[in-house]
Amino acid sequence: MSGVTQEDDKKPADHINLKVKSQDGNEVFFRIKRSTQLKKLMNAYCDRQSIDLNAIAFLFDGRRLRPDQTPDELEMDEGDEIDAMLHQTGGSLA
Amino acid sequence: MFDFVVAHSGMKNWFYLMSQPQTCWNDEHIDVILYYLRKKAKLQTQEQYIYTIGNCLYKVYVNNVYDRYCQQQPKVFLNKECLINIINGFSIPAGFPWHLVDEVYIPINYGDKFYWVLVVVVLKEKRIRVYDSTLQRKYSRTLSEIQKLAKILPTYLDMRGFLDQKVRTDWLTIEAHKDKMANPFDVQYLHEIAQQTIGILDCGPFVAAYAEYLSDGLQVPNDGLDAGLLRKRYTALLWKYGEAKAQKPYATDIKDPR
Repeated sequence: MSGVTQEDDKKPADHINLKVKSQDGNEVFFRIKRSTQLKKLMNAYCDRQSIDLNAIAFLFDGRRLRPDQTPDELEMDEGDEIDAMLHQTGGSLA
Repeated sequence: MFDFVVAHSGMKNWFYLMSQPQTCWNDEHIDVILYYLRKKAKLQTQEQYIYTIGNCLYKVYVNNVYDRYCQQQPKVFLNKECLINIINGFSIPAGFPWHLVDEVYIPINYGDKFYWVLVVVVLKEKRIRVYDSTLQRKYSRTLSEIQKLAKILPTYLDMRGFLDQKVRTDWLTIEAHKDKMANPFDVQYLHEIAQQTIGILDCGPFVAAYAEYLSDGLQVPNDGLDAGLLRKRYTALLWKYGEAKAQKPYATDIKDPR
């Protein structure tokens, strides 16, 4: 027997694995606490990819994420995917 | 900071960029306006004409899937999920599954050419209409992203079982789709539509205005769109709405910016 009670099974884990997908489809996995602000994940991702944080939008289900939000607040599930999209801008120059 | 669901506006600079002439709109401005137009469709379920609207990520998915698809990389299988989710109406707030709508509007940004256009997927005609505010420019006809979309859409609609759907439209009986699933969508550039002044950086407001006219079931006018006025109007609507929502975040009686 594992010794794990049913109650323990139901208790959500403290940590969560999240996948960040870049524009070219490459995936990077992160494991963070559910109560940790996503700022930490965003900074780590940008450091690893050598990109400026301000050049990227992180989207979850079509919504842009704020650095102060947490997986708990967003009700994220294990294995959820975040899109990292380079900001797009346009105006049409001559 | 105002919460517009799909983006959170930084305060002054976000609205400054939106309202002032000679400033560019970014993906957040476009996505926020298109989100509220998409929500409008969701609230008008009795309408004859139903549309839904994509966000700025669609172009990224299309490029990505197309590049891998053409190179026959194994990862294409993983990436196809993104496009199938889109066709199913998932992964986007207030979206409709495509088999329930007549048209799908998608904003396309040409990063290297630094401008926005609106494409409209007319599902019953198997056609993509392009609303471009800079038609007089030479490169308008050579936009590769639209060709990519035209080419991969039939495959992805087929994978999703789109043609078997009969809830609102019996897609198999539509002439344009009969036995022609493998053919790409036709691409048509709309010519008699209001154009921006070249060099004034107004394609963002034009894309928003095109989408708004179409969402009301109207033709895009061929003249008379005042970019300055459009900027002020969208900024004022969103500022007023954002402020009201910030004061009563849980109240439901705040009308959408319209």
